[in-house]
Amino acid sequence: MAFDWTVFWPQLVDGTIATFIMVLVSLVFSILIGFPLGVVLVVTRPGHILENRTLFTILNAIINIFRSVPFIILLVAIIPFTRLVTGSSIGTVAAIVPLIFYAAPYFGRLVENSLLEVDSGVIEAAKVMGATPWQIIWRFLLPEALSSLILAATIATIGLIGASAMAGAVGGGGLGDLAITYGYNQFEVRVVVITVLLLIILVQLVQSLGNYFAQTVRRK
Amino acid sequence: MIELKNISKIYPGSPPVEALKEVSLHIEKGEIYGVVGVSGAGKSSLIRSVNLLEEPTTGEVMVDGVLLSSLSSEELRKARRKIGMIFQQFNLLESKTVFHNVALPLYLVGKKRKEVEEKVMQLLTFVGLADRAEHYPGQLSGGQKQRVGIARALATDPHILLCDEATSALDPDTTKSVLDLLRKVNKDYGITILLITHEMDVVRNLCDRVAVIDQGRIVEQGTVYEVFTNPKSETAQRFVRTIFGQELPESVHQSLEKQDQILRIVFTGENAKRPLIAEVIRKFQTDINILQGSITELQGKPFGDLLISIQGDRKVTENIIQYLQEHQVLVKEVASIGV
Repeated sequence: MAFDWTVFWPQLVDGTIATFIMVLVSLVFSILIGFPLGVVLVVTRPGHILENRTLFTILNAIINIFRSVPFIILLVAIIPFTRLVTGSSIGTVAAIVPLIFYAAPYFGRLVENSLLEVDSGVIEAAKVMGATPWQIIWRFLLPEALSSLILAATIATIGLIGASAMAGAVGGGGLGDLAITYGYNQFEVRVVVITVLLLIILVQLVQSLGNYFAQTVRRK
Repeated sequence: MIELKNISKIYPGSPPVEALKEVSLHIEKGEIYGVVGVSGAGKSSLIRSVNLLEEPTTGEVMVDGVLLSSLSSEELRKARRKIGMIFQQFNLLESKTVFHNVALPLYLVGKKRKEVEEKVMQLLTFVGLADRAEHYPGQLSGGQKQRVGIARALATDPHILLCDEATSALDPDTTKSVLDLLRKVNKDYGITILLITHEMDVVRNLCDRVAVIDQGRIVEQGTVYEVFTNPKSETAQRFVRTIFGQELPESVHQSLEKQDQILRIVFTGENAKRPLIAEVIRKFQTDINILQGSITELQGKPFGDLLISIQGDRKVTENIIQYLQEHQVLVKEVASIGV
């Protein structure tokens, strides 16, 4: 049976759009959750401006737990929750939920690292000026870490592109789904090559954009 | 202005580190006070206790007549705005312009844009960086960064300026210009300055009074003139020696004979201008050999330091010592050379 390219091309377009949607939506939610998580992880650690050992220890443990579960298992493990939220456990929308569970703790860690890179002398200077903890975060820590935060978001985005391809394994749609359905199951190597090429281009694009913005911020 | 009473600071650990031991300091309004010590002596903990960046384990910190530890966190933030601070590593925001850095303390208290602009430009003019307002710290030299730091510290009209090794990262020329600026801050704004340093030269050039700290204790304090002309503690003597290199050259050392009597003579004030040695030689008909000497200025007063050897009768030497002491000159017998 010859491969029907007239059917494939529209599916490739749909698949690309599905990947975009999955990555973008889960990225937005991962940032919304992961960003405050990272900030809290920094400021509640011992010796920091809002030291809170209990909160720090709990958050730290939760993040580690989520970070240690392989994505493919996470995908399956939270199906009941996904169904509760989206009403379904398969499809693009349903894939977004596990992607958020995967990327939010990851982004939280990246934010934590970025903020820890800020010189402690800057925080000392802020305290000396009589800055409130809130002001220290918004007016000192975040501006100083901005360039590094942009790179963190870039890394998280690329992580999500990779993970979204895996979500294809459970019928999440997107480029990964195409590669598995046609390439893996029907031995159509050309399809695998095309989808992987598309993914590579996507990743390159995201990384270049991230580098560009990080550099622009830094040069200021 | 600043009153530290029996401040102790212990860092927990095994073993715990006692950074400050029963330190008491009293700093007058309008003076420039220096605390000198080697690294690890407790200077950094001391200066950070004044604005409670580090809370003392025991003891009281009074600033402007207010007991800082009794304040709520909101009141402490307010009090800190009246205690400016500059740092060895400047601690500027690298991502913000010079203007923004100086404006930050004003933004924090919600000052209006126009007011902020006026104040910042006035401060930048004062520190000589008005033309650099739109530069980023990365484009400035160390001395310029410290000037920005000073402008930023002055933005909230503080009564006190704390200087944490403010010139230690700078070369000698830049150090001098920053010290000149600090003197101007003191004179023009009447701001009390407390500085910590390991460089005795900074103390000599800038301070009115000085305390010497060693292993968490204040071992000596007094006016700069007193401590430099007559250091009592061993630590202070070591620091003074870094300024007036008192090591005798090896060849001079070897040429001395056993029976030579070595005296250190310190002239202070008007005595430094008198030809006292000539008088002694004429009066006692003796040979005096000057081994080393210098005359410098301290706080605008001349200060001479001579090392002499006298050959001959021990009795004559005692008479000379007595004669010099009658003329209010500080004389010390030096047993072994190298002091």
